[in-house]
Amino acid sequence: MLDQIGNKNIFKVPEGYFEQLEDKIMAKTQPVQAKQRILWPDMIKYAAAILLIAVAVQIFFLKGPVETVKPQVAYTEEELIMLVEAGLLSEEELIYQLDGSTDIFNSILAEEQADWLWTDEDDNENIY
Amino acid sequence: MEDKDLIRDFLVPATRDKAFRELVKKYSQKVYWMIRKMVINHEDADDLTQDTFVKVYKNLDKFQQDASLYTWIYRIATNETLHHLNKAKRMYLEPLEDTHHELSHSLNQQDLDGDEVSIKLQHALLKLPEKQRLVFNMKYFDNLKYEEISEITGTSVGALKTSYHLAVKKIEDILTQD
Repeated sequence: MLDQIGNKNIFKVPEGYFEQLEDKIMAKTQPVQAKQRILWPDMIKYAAAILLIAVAVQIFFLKGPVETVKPQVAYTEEELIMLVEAGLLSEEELIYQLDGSTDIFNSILAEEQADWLWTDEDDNENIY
Repeated sequence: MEDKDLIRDFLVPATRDKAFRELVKKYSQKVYWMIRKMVINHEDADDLTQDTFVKVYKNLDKFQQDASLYTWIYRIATNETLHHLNKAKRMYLEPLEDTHHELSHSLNQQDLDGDEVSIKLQHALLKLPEKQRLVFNMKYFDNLKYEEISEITGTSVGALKTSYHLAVKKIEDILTQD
């Protein structure tokens, strides 16, 4: 019985379907190829970003605390020393007021320390 | 172009696209028609054919050349098709009869190019279990040898012969009853 029916294909496809099918299949394989091709550039991009962050973090921590800009006041050195002696300005604040220069601060500190710094004379006194 | 030449060119990045296009040109229609006869609906067959060739593209570099490329592609296509049909059954928890009913309904919606008895044959085929229908289609419509069907399905030639003859008998019974 089946021999009489035959094996003719009775289904239809839209006009030009098989030509389009080839293109559709080729297009679907392109993302696969593209992914493989962009893998290395992507990795380099991410590695560069990580490296940049690492360098930025390192610079930030090695540099120490962020410097704050103190408002500059136009005092003379004598006036500043008077303010410190009067207790109106701490020695740390004085350093900032002097625009980064520590010369005056060091000189004040040297005078204060003179009272308790060891000298050769002190050593001699302690010998006996 | 011979299959071994297609594979050789595919493995070279510079000629990969050209070789794959040749392969698609050579096998896409056969694969489509095999799938179409199983799922009936054109849109499903179109999707499954594309999925089949994407899988072929991804795995062709691993293809063992001791098997024929044609049967290997057919095997991927049949797996995709059976997976699709089983997924539809699982999704809607359909009994076998309902699946046949749906496919039969889909067949009625098609613009078919055949005489009444050919259409009756397609309706009769839908009453077979899927794997038996697949074997019948490959033998009856695609004229594949039992050895080739055996390579595709991983079933022995003896079992396939038995399955086919039982299928023929069932179909003739159905057609006679109608």
